[in-house]
Amino acid sequence: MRALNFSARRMSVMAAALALSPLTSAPVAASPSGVKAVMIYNIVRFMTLPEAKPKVRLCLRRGEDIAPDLVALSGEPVRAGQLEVVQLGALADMRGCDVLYLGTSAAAAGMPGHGQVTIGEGARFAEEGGTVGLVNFGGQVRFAINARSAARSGVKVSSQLLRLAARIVN
Amino acid sequence: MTRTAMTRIAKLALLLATVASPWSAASAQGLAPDVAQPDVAQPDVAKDSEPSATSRSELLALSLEELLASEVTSVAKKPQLASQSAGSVYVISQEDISRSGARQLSDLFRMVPGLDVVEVTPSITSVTARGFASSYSVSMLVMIDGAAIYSSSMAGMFWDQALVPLQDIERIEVIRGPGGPLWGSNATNGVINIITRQSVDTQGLRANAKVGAGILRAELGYGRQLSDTLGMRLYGDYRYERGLDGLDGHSFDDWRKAGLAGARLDFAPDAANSMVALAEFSRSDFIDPANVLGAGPGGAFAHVITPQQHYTGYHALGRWHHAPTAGFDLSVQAYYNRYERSIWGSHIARSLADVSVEGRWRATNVHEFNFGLTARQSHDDLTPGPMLTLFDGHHTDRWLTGYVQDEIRLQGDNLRLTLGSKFEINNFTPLIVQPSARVFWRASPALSLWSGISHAVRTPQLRERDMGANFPSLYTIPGSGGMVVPMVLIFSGGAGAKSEQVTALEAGLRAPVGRHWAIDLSLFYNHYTHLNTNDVTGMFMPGTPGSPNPMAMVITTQISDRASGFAHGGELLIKGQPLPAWKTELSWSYIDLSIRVDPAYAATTQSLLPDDATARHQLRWKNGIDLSDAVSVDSLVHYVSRSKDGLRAPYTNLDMRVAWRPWPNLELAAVGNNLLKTRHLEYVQTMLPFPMVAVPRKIYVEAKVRF
Repeated sequence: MRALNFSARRMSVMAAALALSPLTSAPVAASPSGVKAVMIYNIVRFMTLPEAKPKVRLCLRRGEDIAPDLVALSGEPVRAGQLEVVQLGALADMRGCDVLYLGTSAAAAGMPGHGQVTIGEGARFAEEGGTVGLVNFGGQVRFAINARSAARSGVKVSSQLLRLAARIVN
Repeated sequence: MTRTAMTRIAKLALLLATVASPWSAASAQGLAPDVAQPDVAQPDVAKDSEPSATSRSELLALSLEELLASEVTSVAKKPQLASQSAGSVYVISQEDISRSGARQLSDLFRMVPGLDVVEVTPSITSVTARGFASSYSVSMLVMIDGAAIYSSSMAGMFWDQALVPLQDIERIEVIRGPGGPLWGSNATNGVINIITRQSVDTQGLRANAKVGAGILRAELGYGRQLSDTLGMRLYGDYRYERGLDGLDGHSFDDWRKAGLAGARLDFAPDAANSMVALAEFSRSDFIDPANVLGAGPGGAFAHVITPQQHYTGYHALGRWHHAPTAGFDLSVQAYYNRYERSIWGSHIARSLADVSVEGRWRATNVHEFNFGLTARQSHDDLTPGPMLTLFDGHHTDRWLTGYVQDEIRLQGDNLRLTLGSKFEINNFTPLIVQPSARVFWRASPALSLWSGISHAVRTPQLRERDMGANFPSLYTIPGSGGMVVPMVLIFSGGAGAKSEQVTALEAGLRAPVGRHWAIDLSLFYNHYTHLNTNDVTGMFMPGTPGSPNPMAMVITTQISDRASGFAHGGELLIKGQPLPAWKTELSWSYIDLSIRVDPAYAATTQSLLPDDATARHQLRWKNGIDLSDAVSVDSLVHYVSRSKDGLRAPYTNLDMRVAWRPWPNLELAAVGNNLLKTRHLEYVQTMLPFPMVAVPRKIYVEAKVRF
């Protein structure tokens, strides 16, 4: 009898699940760049800049595919402050940027200044001195970290982030 | 025939259950940060530009490791977030594995709501979902990267042969409930899908060693990205461990040594094509304590012997995944494996070849089809021993299976109806059809509901169809004043073994609570029919002419399918992050399982999968705290209620791990398992010819380095 009652309750749950009803909010696409943007945000959260700031400024070139998804993350909390995403016309003026997303720019552009984190695309980005390289392999994304570059620019990388890296360049 | 004797007979028959699946760790397509590569694989979400119901806030609610690990392929056979699966899913991430300090794969499942992990003997671990804890795990399908390591000939899953290096696992998806519709037969109560890391995710040299009294486990891996399109990994592990204790704490002087070596290549010439090839070799020697009968002046007596056993395994796998567009992809996979294993004086060699093609096609914005076709052949050779015989000495089984599934997006990804079925043709049962219907409804960002009805099948194992076994034991003749005689149970598999059937109703809800908490509730009702039974067909007492006492009692039995039953219950999981540095998970699981034999045969028949050992309640509380970036503390408290038959006492375990990272590439840890008691009993062994064992407290240290 108990089993019958139980299954009756379950049936009502199923019926509820089956019932059609209007959605309360429209979903946002989990596009590749949407997921990648949240990854970048999380990577930034796991880094400690030499100076605590109320706003952590992430700069990127206007027109990058990922730009809309990163801009949407502006205002999200980072450490004690907030993420501020700024689009630049050119990467010539990077002063004031704490995090630079350089896309597929040449790795030479990826050498971080003091207190800076650079994030770029490609297996060689981190190898050639960038802080974080996003590596595409078979259509999937993972990241490599240059621990030496981070240390040189005074940025502390959390051990959790290092554990998740596909590669650590020392 | 007393009930006690019957129980003993049935349990003796369970002995046949032993032996195993050979393939040690197969590692195939792993995955990458944020995007999963399923087993026989669909494209990852990253390639899928169609809208999905994953909101940004949902993504933001995931930690980075969850972003890397939360894609579940096992429910729908395509990547999707666990929170969007229409099924009971729990994902064990590499972070969970690393922070558990586990020494063996099967121990990882102790953290999963609704799972029973019990040490039955030093060489048999049982991992089951939603009841049926027994000497073997036949109702749980286990796969590594899409290759089934479930053995359909002898045992179901033999966990001691699952030697995959724990540091190479990307994640483990555990599905509770029938996975039959997409995963084929033998997933009546669940699916465990182990997904290993792609070689490019494990670059550099990584080593992990765990050392304690009577404990050594070492893992080594070297991965390299050879070019933009090619990655490789060499990996291996070695394990030595002293066996389990007797109930009173004495040692059987048993031990286990096991090792695995493997190599893997990942090739991804472009975003539309990826390939993986891997080969592995594994070997183990172990002592397996067993009870045997002896004869002395005082009559027959039982004593423990400790014969040395061994197995050797080979595994090779290749896969090509082709995803020309976001709406279509195809995988072709082939694997071969072979194992040889000694068991009770017999020797079994089993080889298996499997070729499959699977695909996914988004025909319209509403309909998405998944389909697949698999051909499989296995061959078993058994050199008979005193206790075990394969009737013809060798046996070949063949399967042709296919599945098709339509996911109908009634309101985008927010309301999805999934209809599908699997079909199986083999040489030992009639055509098998396993249909299912599932619905997922995201009622609001704060509430998702899902429900499903499915029919799944466990096909009889070769041992149930074509093997015979003799099990000696001692039997006290009722009413004789304690006269003990040797008893021999002769078990015969045969045509009476039918496919066990389950029809399952499931429903669940998931509700994120704020940004840092989530509730996950699953309810189920399973109805089982044609459960295998052991029927007594004869009983006689050969004796010495003129002697008043029989020399032995001989009982013959035959397999049949006269049991049925039902189970209902649920699992409630509350997980959250009260502080940025503190993650916690609390779960309660409940099951009421009832198996009964057809009353007309109850006097001489016993279910082969009794409900006796089922624990009705389980509670788990898992915590992970980062005291600083360099120090973390993890714990798992696990309560298991008394077994249904009352024979096994309730127990509470506490596992703890304290880790310290002095440098970025070094982690040192102290680990303690079962800290609350010196030892505890997890399974009551009444008739299998193995001594009862207790799981002892273990304390060891761990070192992890990476260059």
